[in-house]
Amino acid sequence: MMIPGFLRASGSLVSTNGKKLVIVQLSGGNDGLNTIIPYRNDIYYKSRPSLAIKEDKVIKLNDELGMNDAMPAMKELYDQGLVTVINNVGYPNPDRSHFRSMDIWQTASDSREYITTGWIGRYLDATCAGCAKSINAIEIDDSLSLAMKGESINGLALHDVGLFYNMMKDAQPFNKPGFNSSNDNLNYLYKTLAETSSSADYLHEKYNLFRSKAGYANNAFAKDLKTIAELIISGAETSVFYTSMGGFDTHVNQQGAQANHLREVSEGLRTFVGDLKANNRLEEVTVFVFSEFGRRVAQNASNGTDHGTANNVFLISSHLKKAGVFNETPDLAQLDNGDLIHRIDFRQIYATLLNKCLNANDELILGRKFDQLQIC
Amino acid sequence: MQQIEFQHLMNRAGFGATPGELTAFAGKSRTEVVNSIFSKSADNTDLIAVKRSEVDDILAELKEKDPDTKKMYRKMLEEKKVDLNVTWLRKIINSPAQLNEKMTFFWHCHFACRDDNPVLIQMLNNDMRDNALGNFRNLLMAVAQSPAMLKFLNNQQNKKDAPNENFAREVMELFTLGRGNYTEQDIKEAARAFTGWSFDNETLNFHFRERQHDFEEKQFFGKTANFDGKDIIDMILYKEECARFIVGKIYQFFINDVRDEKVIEDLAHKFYMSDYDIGGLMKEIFLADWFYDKKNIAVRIKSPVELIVNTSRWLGAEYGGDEALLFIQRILGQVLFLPPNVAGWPNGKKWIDSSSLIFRMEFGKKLIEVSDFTQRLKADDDTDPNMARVKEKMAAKKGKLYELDAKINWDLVCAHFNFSSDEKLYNQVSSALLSANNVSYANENYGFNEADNSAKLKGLLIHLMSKPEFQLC
Repeated sequence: MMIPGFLRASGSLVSTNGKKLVIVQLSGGNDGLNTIIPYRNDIYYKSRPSLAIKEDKVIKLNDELGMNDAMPAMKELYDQGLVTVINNVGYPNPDRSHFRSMDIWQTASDSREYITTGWIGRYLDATCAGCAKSINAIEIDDSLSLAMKGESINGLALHDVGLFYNMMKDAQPFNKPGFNSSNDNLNYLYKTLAETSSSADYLHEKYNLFRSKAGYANNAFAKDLKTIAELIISGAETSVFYTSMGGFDTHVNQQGAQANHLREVSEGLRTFVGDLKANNRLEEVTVFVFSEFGRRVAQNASNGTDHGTANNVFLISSHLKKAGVFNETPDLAQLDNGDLIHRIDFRQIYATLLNKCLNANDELILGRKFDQLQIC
Repeated sequence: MQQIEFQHLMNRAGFGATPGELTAFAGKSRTEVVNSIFSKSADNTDLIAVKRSEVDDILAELKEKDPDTKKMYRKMLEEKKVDLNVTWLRKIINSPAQLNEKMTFFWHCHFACRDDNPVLIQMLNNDMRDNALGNFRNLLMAVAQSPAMLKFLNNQQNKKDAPNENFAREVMELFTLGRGNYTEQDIKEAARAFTGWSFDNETLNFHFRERQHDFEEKQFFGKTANFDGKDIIDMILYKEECARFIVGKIYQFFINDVRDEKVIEDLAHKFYMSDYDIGGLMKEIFLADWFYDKKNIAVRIKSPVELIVNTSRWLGAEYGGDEALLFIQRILGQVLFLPPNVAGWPNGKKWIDSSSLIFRMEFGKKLIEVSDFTQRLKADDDTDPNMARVKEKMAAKKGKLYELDAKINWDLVCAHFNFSSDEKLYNQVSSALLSANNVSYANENYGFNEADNSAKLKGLLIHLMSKPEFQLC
């Protein structure tokens, strides 16, 4: 039966389970100790004479921890029971190089292991073998991160649905769906082109159904979140969205720069959550915010901080098992060579998100079993 | 030798045949062409982009405490790294010693290494290019004892009281044997043998720090003695698995993603018996009949660097600005001297996803039309200081993004083609560009709308370079 395009587009008949994961990557190594601040800890203040956030400025969460004063928007979400802060997240034998540590987070590998597929890519491999389109995981960017690359299936990168659609129109004359030759790589190129083309058509059609009127700020991160919200609300059958924000590598004069970034993140997410809520979509969505590492406990000589190890991450969702601060405060008295020691492996969080949020086989995707957390 | 065979050879022994080379090869035999490729590569010259004295001055200033001073010198250091990158890329494009550049590029991918000091990286590149077609034993020793690799794999921290296994592990896992050909205990023992391998900060020569070396007995590959690092490397090379591992990688890089185990086994044995003569191995490959089998021709996906160099050479493009050259490497996913990790870049299909394919398909068009790219860099690119410079320049252009600033002499390119009929032109250019994957005019719905020759050729090239077939070599 022929279904008119607008009807097909507004339904969500083929949706996997309706749940969606939105991953926010803070690139450069966000300073977790000045994001979630142990404001009662003397070691914190002694280690950071000019960089510590003063107790009276901290937005208190409990008797020990509080948020950076640039994050009142995040605190609003926190007060609505929508935020979990997980402390001391990392992995064994931490690597302090940006590119290496980011690879470890994106591939979910061990520190001494090199994997050429990402954790979301392998999620696609495991769940999307028969999918005709490649819209199950979308990164809001012009190039695709390793996290989104699978063995046989990749996510899709675009930073603007309209621009992506127009670029595909230029490529359309070369599209030959069903192309088949004895040249395996040539088939692969044509297959990728055909899938990209049908994905562009699909997304363009969906995207035109809904335009958000929420008050997103005028910055790149907010714009990316707006694109994600519009795709979710218009009913795109995408289960994972990925977006990144840079600028967290604060070796020099950290305070102002980090505050601006944290404000952008918090306000962007507040608008995003509000937008989803107003359109009855918040139930479906879990947001996960991470960075490739935290920073050293002690500040450096340039009013900044250098690369560290364990860090905090954020989850935002309307069905958290434990809203608030999930686990113990970082132990500043017991450090490894000046760095925090991780208590939770980030892959435990991945395992939980894959299993609970995306209904996927976490063990297969991560290559082994990680103990799940009671988070969502 | 047929044209398609010649193109295949030039694609694999270099970065593709230019229209000029296609005109000139006519009538030559396979042996003549292969010999000429090797003799041109005998003229290998060093990569000289950064001067040690200048970089040392910058590094000394970087120790200053003042943030602004530091920032300024940091920027100068990054400029040096950019110089090194684009100097090599231009050298690959312009050098007559194409096989040596291709081989150096292969070793660059095999012995993946990063360092903040461009002088050390330049030294390592020159170690590779000096031995690229020489003996693998010498190459391996030169790389293993080069300051950049000793630093990258933490052998500076490998001391008898606190051995660091990183170097020993990667040498065996990624550089020589591959997994399954050694035990964890072998790694521990080899690490002890490599203790004290270091370099002199003044001379930048390899330096054996006797006081940090473990002179006790070690058990390695079932033998027990007081082995040192060189013994370990000799014992690794004594295993024929090493030849198999290297030949397997060369096969997948130069011939086909899909391995032919029988051919690999045969080549590996000869390679081993020749005591690791790389030039001999490559000559054997390029002269073999099986190398020219249909299944091996025009089936490899060009890596980003191969795509850039191939397109640039074909068109004779010269580039003005450095930033655009860096930008295209970044967007395509392969920046020289910045491999993702010690395992190097994943090859083949791994280069292709929706966005990279679209960018690749419009690459020729952007180059020929000298039009802007609309792509943005990734958020984490500011942790990669090379890219910080690109971003800065982009910001200065206020959203007007990159144009490639390529200069192409169209009269020169046109001179190689016959404009007497549309059909002839199409077929000639299509086969020159796409070799075995060419499509004939009769089977394509392509109409020439342009009046003068160079406009005609530009339009046709944009069309052909946008075809998925152009991604293969």
